[in-house]
Amino acid sequence: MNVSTSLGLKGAGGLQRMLMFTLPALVLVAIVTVTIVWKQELIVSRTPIYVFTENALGVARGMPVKVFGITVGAVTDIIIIPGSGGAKGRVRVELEVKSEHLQHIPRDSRARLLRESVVGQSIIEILPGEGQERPIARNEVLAFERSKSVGEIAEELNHMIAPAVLQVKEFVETMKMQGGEAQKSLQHAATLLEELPESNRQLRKTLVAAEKVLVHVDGALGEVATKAGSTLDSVQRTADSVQRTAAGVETAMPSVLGKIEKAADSAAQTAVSVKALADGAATRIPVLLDSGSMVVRDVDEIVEGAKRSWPVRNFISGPADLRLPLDSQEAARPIVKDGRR
Amino acid sequence: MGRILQGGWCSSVWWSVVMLISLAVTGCSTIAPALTAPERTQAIEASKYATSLFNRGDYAEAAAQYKRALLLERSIENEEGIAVNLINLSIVLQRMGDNAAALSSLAQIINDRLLQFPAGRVAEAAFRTAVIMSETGDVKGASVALQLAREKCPPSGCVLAGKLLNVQAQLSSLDKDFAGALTLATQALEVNRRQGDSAEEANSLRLLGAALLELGSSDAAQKVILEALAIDKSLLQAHKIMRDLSLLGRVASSKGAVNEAAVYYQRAIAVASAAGDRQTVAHLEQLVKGLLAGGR
Repeated sequence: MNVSTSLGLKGAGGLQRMLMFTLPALVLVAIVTVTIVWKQELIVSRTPIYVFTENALGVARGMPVKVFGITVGAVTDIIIIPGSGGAKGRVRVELEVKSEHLQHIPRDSRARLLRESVVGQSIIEILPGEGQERPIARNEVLAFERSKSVGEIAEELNHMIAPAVLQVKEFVETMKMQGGEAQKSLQHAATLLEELPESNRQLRKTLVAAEKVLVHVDGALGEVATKAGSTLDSVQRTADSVQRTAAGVETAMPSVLGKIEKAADSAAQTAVSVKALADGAATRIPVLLDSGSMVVRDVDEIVEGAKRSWPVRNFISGPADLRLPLDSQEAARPIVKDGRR
Repeated sequence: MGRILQGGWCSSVWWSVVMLISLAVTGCSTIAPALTAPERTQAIEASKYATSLFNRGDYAEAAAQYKRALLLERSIENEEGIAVNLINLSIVLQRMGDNAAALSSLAQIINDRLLQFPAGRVAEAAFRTAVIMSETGDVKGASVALQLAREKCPPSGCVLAGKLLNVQAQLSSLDKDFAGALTLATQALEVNRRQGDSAEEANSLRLLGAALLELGSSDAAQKVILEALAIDKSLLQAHKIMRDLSLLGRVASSKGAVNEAAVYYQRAIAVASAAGDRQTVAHLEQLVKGLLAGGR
């Protein structure tokens, strides 16, 4: 028995009937395929270019490649190139860039791994060169560099601050040192201040004696002498006050210096802790945030799509009734007058 | 054998095609949900938020949210949404004691000549107008509004029928036509029971009780008011419970049962006090004082 006969395909007429059945389905499949290919940009022309780096830390497949802040491609492949002839092994990162954007990437452009914000997504940014070189071509290589991470910035800051903190500590130590230059200077100052009132008193006695001798001198001179005496009193009071202040400063200084030293130590420890925290956060937080936001976005889209699709939409009720209940005895407040409204 | 094979293949193909076409026709013929404008979504959210504020007793903020929802609905000229928010706003404003503003809100539906508000919403606005006017004692104005509500309410299956009868009974009572009020309240009770509207059923019973009391049937009045009280307690309507209790106090007082009346009034005072209605508390306390003084 002929197979075509058994399936009802008798000659050209049978084949025609079969084509009538299958052709619409094939056309539909073709339309869907073309739509998917078009939507997914599967037939967009892309050009591979490469960058080489010591390691692939922070680089991942699918990472966007941007020029002037516009996404022009993505990282498509990362492979290790083994070392040979004494040269170290390196990592080759393949970037696929939409060919239409190649004109904006001269050969002397540089690729840089950076994060869009402190906790943002990592990207590869291409920094165009001077523009005098020809545009980069298929399979050519770009120079690669990494921008500093938060941890590296914190470390640099730490390096810069450390000498200053050390100097402050040394200064504090010098000030605190018993018998040191600073302590001696303070003691000398105190001694001088202590001797000042006695000198003043002696000077005053001398002046009083001189006043007695020159009592016959005219009133004008006598008045001058009186004024000088009052001025000296004032000087003495000031000197006493300065002496008391100096004594207070001398007492308080070691405690204040001790506090400054503790604060400096604490600041140094905090800087170390911040660095450790930043290192940890810089690695984990962006990944978590990226993943979380992607999941939420995906779920939203899926739910929204499902809600609009048939037959799910038939089972979703419409918006709730927004009307307040109508009451024939609605009132501002219970107006009760002998039980009547 | 070949014929059997041929018949089986054809029938299975035909069945598959028929199933697919049925599925496609069913899927395509189902109407997709209407697109929702951002303004409409925001309006719905504002309206829902306002309702939750209203239920919490924050009338000022609820009014602000209903006004916001109203503006959003106006921005897309959604007559249904505009009307619903205006009616809701009128309820909130009435609760706040601003009857003039509440009536003005409803007038925007009744007197509008530019938009095409659904007849059902116009009937509701007219009904609400009648309720507010009856509260303020404007029997004439309330009657006119009530007539409009009847005209706009669909003749077959008017959902407001029981409510309208209650308002009409209330107006008869205000007009001292207690026999008329009794008849209307009885009709209202029947309609509200048929429609399964418990809150309005309690209102009908209260109106019936008040009319019976005025007509001298204290026992019958007490019976129906106790029924109203039971419904209001099941619906957790504090203000209605207070009205029922004070009406029961009045019934007891009319029968000369001073102590029983005092007990009802004290219960009403406790409810009013808990509801924060100082005015009613003061009024009921005066009643109790007078009652006890008269009893001595």
